[in-house]
Amino acid sequence: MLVFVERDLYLSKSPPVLLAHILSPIIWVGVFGVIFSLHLETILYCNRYIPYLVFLVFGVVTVSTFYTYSSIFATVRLDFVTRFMYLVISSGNSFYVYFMGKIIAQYIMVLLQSLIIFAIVYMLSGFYLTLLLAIILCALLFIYTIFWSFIGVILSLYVRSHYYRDLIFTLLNPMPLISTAYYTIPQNQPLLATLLYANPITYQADLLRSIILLGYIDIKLVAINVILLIVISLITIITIQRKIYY
Amino acid sequence: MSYVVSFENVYKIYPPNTIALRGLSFSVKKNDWLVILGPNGAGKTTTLKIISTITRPSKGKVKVFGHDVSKDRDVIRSKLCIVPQEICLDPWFPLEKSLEFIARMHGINKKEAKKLVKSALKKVGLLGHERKLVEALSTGMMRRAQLAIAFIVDRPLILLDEPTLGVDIIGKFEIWELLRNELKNRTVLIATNDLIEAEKLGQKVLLINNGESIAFGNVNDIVRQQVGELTLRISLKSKDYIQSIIDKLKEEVSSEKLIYGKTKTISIVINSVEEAMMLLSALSDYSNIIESFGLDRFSLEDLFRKLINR
Repeated sequence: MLVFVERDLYLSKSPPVLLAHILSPIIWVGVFGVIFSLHLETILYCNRYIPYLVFLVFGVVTVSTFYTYSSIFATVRLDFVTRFMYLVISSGNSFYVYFMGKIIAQYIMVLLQSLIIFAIVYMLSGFYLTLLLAIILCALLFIYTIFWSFIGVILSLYVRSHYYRDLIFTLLNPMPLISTAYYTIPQNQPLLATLLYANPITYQADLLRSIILLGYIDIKLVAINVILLIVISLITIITIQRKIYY
Repeated sequence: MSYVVSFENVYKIYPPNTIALRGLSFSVKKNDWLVILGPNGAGKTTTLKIISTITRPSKGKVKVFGHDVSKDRDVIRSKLCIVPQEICLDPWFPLEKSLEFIARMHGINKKEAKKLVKSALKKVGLLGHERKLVEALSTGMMRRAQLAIAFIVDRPLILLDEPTLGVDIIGKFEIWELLRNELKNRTVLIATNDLIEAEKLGQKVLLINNGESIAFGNVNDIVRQQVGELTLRISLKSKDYIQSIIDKLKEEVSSEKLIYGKTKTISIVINSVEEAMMLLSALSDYSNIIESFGLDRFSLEDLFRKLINR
């Protein structure tokens, strides 16, 4: 599996890709977050006023796991198009091993981004995580990376045309904006609230906030996240079994 | 006798109802070189995919090194190397890095992989280009780089899918020589629609069309069994009269004879020199249009055209 992790990380080490990974959190937290904080210093979340920057940080790290879907989708698709996948399978490697290598590589990049995000937030607001909370954060981010990577692999196995790929990207990429990643659920807007509740990012970001910010485990959020993960895992396994003979 | 590869009445149907192989049967002995020859869509790549356990047969028995492809995939995979027709190297990686990852994927350790990549690049004449990005290489260089996979992942069974696709004729000759020298004592299966490649590389040829085997065996033997020994080739000064000469020849010979015209040359399969003389005298009215004529050994191209009726 290590060879697949290294192969995926190899490109990420190239200066432009690395720069993109570093700049993305700086833009979201260091620029967007700071400017937004000037207008909204604190935000009411679960009956508590929380500094907006601290609220935002959990949304941004969740969103960084979301984008793994497009990376997985693009690279798996490329490996099918170039028939690299023939070599993967005929060399005796299971598709699952190959795929797990990709997930781990993505997770390493998510961790790198999270490190930068929390460093910026610490410098700007003094907020930091204890070791235990950092471990919990890492564990949850790993689960979220798996979830979104599964979506990416399902899409790569079904969507072959570039046109459909563009359509799917256009539909999926605004998802973070229709979630609680950047703001709370507006209770006086039922339609918008329904959209937010239909978005997995909402439950993922809120689970992080409930454990790390509020200090309690919201069983309802845990259950929803577990159900979502189980459903998407089953769909992924069925798709792989149907589409790939390995 | 134990065969390295054996197909017994194999069918492959891709959903919903595309029949890629229809009752294909053939076998390959150890260290044999078999060329699977056929037009596009004949089922060549599907045959290689079944052998390399990338896809399974819908019906029939396929054994590789005596193992069933549907049951003993891991054993089979450890004994073969497939080189696909598409360039499967990572386009944005340096050449050596891309090959190194492929080597390691096949279970070769990092240190050994570096050594093998270097040696393979030397064999394919790409030493000095190892740090270039794959996408920056020319088509011929990419093809040779791709073939380096077969030398790095040194396995007893090598499957090459269109190994010289897109390469100019000089490059093709270089690649054929390279393959012949470097893959001695290996069982090699080559899928191609290049007749010259088939004649240069194949000890045996499997001709397939529409998923069916139409001839299998030693190149010279099947040519001799299927048709006469000679081809009369008539070159014309102009292509304007090609059809009328073909019509005239058809009047003179039996309808089963293979006659075909290509640009300014007409080829006709015959059994004897006497028959050639008879046909040439029948064309006396066209003597001012005929530039030259000659007798050739019946070629694989003639056979190929006859068997697939093109």
